[in-house]
Amino acid sequence: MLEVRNITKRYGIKLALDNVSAKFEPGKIHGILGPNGAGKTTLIRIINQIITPDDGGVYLNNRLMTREQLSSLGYLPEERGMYPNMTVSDFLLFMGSLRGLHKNESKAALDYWMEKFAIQEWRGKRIEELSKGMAQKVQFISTVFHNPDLLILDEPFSGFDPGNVKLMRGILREMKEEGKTILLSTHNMNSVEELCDHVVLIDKSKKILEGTVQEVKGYHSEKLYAVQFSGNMIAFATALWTGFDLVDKKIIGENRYIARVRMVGDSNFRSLLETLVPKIDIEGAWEELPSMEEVFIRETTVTH
Amino acid sequence: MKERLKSRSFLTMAVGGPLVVLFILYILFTASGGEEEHVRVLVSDPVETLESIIVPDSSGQIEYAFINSYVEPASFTSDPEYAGFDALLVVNEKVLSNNHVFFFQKKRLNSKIPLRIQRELEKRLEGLKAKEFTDLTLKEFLIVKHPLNLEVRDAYRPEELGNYKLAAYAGVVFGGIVFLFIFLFGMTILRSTSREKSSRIAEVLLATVKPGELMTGKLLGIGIAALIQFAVWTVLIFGGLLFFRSVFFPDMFDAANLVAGQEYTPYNDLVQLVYEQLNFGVMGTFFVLLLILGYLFYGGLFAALGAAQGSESDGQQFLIPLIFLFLIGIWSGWYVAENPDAELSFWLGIIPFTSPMVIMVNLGLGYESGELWHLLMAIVLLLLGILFNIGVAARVFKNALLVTGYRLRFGNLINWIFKKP
Repeated sequence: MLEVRNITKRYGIKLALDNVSAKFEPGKIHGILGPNGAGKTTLIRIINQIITPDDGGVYLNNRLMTREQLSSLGYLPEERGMYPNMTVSDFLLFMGSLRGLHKNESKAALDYWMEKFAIQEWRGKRIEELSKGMAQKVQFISTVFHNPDLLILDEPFSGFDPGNVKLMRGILREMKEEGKTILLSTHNMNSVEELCDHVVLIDKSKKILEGTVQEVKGYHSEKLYAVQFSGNMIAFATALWTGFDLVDKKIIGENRYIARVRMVGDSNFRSLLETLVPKIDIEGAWEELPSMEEVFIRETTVTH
Repeated sequence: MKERLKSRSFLTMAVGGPLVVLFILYILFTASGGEEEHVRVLVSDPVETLESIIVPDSSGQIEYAFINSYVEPASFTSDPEYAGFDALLVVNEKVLSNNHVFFFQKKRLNSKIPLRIQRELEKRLEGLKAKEFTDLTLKEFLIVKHPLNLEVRDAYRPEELGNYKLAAYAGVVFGGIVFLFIFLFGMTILRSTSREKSSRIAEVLLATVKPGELMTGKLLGIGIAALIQFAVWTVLIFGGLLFFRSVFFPDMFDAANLVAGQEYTPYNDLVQLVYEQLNFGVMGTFFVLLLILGYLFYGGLFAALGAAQGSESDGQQFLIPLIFLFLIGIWSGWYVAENPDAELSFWLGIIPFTSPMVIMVNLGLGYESGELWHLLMAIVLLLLGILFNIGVAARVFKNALLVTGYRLRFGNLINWIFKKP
């Protein structure tokens, strides 16, 4: 397991990270979120040992992480960087050798990933000839080329069309199933909702939130529930007399609705169901939590 | 290094460069054969001062014909009678006292032709003056006029022959080539580092290798590629010159020209320098050694500047001090060649910025056995200088490589040098 403990980093008088700690379990996708300038990139660079913290440390399986262990790490920085004059195959083979792969291993990995992304015809193309999305694919491949156990991806979906975003998400899920630890830094909250098992939110150098996506959303629960039913809307509204506020409704078919209801006072989901069941045919009911985007905005506009 | 060796530009320069040099040399050598043009000179000597005698040199390049009347330049160029002549030499009747003649040429002859004619005419007039104004015979006069031969020799090694200045300047040439290569490949390091920074590949690399390792790898990789290119250049150019000598210019550097008693010419000095004076084994060995050490000494500075640049066009003004150091290095070669035993020459020979050049000059001049400590000190200081420069450069490299979005100022450099990475 990867763990950052009490990480503090200053650039002159500017405090970039203030006593940040977090745990990142294997077999999960962890979101590192935060507004611009919060300290996410600094934290990532510290984990990568590109820079060293002023206090605290990075631990792998309870031991201080060493440089030798970096060979089992794959890093995709936000700013894409490749050698423009190299061909795709030469660049990937070079990155493989840099990570300690033998020639045959590199060639096998090259064949595998070229086929997986269906980009075999790009082998001989120079990097500078590729479009942004194509270059992004190649750089992602260079990140996972050596089959690392720990992946750190900074804005991996930037530059991708929806089809490729879906492809990438599928690959990340596969890697998660293989037991890899994946750290994902992104502003794409849809990806966070869809992919992340666990998130850490950093703002103004401090960690302000950590937990599973459900937990984090649950912190901001507004006790709002959606009920999908068939029946009479008036009967529904009448049944809600006290203890519940009807927020809005949506017609989804003939005499079929989705209504959103907020709890008032001591009312809860159970009491809502007890109230409604005798009056209407309930097809489904669930809690309406705020989106990660809403959570992000709320958390980063509150002074901590 | 592999990418560099495979690149089209490297292969073009490695092979194309020497071919271009050889082609230019071929043109130069062939063009210098223009000196062999045959010239017919009409000597207008109205009072027959010369008695129709001018002794030309053994080359047979100049042929004189005499006319005992005054010929106008206008008729010389238009009269068919004079169509076969290339130039007109007008000797006035008072030439023995006024020492003045006119030389009219129909086309612009090689500049050496008038000089040769002047020499030959002077010899003839000297004999006539001796006869006219003195009681000396021509033979006696030539004994009086014989130029003094001041032969410079080392008081500690009086038996040794050789033109030491020429040997020193041979060292300057070697040292100049060292500095040229250092500068060219230093600029390659600078551009490569700057491009890695601006393309952001540096961050990916630093997640795998330490900044010091990255910088050292770059120095070594580009350095080895430089040596390979230099080796290819040496083999091709020397091979080409040997080929020229055997096929096109068989007299080139012919040691048979160095014959005892032959009249002194600068050409003989050059042949003697090449064949007898210079120890090419020692010069060649130190040339390669100083190329490597000088490159490592300066290479770190180029890497640091490349890492410090905010953008590729930024920091150009910081290249000026580096260029200035190179110019001082080249100047030091000239200074030591002219003043080999000056005190400043001693210090220039051990200061690492200038020692690669000065050591080559001193090798041309020759180190005494008692002076070898000076050479050793220079090498040791150069090695220490390399460690220091690479240390400072690595610090700037580590601190600056990932920093972007700024215009490079002197304060940035100072800050990065003293800031712990």
